[in-house]
Amino acid sequence: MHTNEVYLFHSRLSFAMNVKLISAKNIVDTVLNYWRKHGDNIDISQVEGFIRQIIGWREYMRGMYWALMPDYKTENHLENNNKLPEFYWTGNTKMNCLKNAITNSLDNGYAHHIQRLMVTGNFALLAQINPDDVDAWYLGIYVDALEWVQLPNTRGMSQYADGGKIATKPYISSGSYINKMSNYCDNCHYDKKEKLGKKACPFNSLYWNFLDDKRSILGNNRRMSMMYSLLDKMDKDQLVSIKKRAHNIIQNPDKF
Amino acid sequence: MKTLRLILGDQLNSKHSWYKTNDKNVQYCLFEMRQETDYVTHHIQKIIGFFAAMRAFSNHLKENNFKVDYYKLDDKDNTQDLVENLKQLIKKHDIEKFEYQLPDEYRVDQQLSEFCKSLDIESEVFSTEHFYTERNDLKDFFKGKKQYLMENFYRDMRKKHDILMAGNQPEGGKWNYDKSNRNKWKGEHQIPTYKYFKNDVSDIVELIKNSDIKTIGNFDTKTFSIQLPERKR
Repeated sequence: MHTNEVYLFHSRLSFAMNVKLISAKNIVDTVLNYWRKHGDNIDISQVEGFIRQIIGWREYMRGMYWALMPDYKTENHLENNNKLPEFYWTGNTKMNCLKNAITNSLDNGYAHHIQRLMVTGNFALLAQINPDDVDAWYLGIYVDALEWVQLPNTRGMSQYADGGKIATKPYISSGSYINKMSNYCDNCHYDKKEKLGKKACPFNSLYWNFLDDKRSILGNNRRMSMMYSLLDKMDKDQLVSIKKRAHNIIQNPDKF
Repeated sequence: MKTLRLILGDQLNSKHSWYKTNDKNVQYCLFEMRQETDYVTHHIQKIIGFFAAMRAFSNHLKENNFKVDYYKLDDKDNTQDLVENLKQLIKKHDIEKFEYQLPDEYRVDQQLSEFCKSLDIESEVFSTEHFYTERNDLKDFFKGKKQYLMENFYRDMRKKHDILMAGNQPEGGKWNYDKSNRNKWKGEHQIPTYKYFKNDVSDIVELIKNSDIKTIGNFDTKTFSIQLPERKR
């Protein structure tokens, strides 16, 4: 992710594919033909990774949609009920990653995968927003969004509202992951290293609060055992202060 | 048999087997409708994109001598409802059979299957011929299994369609190279220049702005960058 780049290396084919102007097979065959001719200049990881999105994830998400509808649309395994912050409609926030990802989305009707999953989706999950609200945002704002692909991705992979049918663990992270994958934190109002205090990155406070709040539901998930052992090692008073800040963010997200 | 074939906004597949023959008894139809613009608050570029692509597709069919009824959003005959529009055309053209392609939304799928149940005439539904799988293939693949693991489905797809295979083994020795694709971009590889296409969609923008359709997002240029089916001269 980068403040100056909207598309990076992404193909921008999703709209044309989803209205079926181009077929999935057409794209895969084109990529395979290129690989056969230019195998010396590119790596198989570039080819396989791209093809996996099309014959793997895309077909899988569609199949999951038809296997699990209509009940899938109302699942809320984590019992998240907060309202979507106003800044999702305006980009008006001091959190630089969200400001960039949302403004990008408003300007271009597009954001790439990591922005959708680890910035806007991550925040929505940590702020414990009602998955209905999150669905409505993702379905509306992206030009490539049709319910068959949007719903399993948002409610399933991003919000873990299906209790793990699609994802093996919730896709949550604190500010340090976003910093690792982007340059957004360089010019942010908040400090990615702080958990407490006015300048603490809200993702940090929300992250530990989320783990604590959802322990009864997620505590037994083996893929989360490291996160929970870290939570257990945290000073009890520090956790109380972190939760206090997190609650403030959750009640007044637009102030941040 | 006089047949009406519905094409939904996300079914713009010109390679579909429907178009392999041109039967003069077949009437195609596409509709721009409030039913679709209003079920959620869309980004304005999405509505523009859909309408621009639908119009280009319809023109492409007409230029290839297919018979098409296209309802623009502000057409006086447009009831803004899918079922009512279909009933209208069935009556107008004395239709004896209704055909459509499987919708990719549950809501529309329900609407059309209910509609077909209420019809006095014959109806038939077709695959969109776009995906690698049919609608229920995945459900069947995971029948009796406790987890819906994508990786298992994906490997089966690789084998089934002989994609990046070396006999029965994955090419390169590994099925999944995901771990190699997880690093941050530090600017060391140049980003390719983007391909842009110019389409004048100012009439569609005006149409949307003059309606009371609620939209989000921005659209500042007169040209909309998607590649639309070529017009034959």
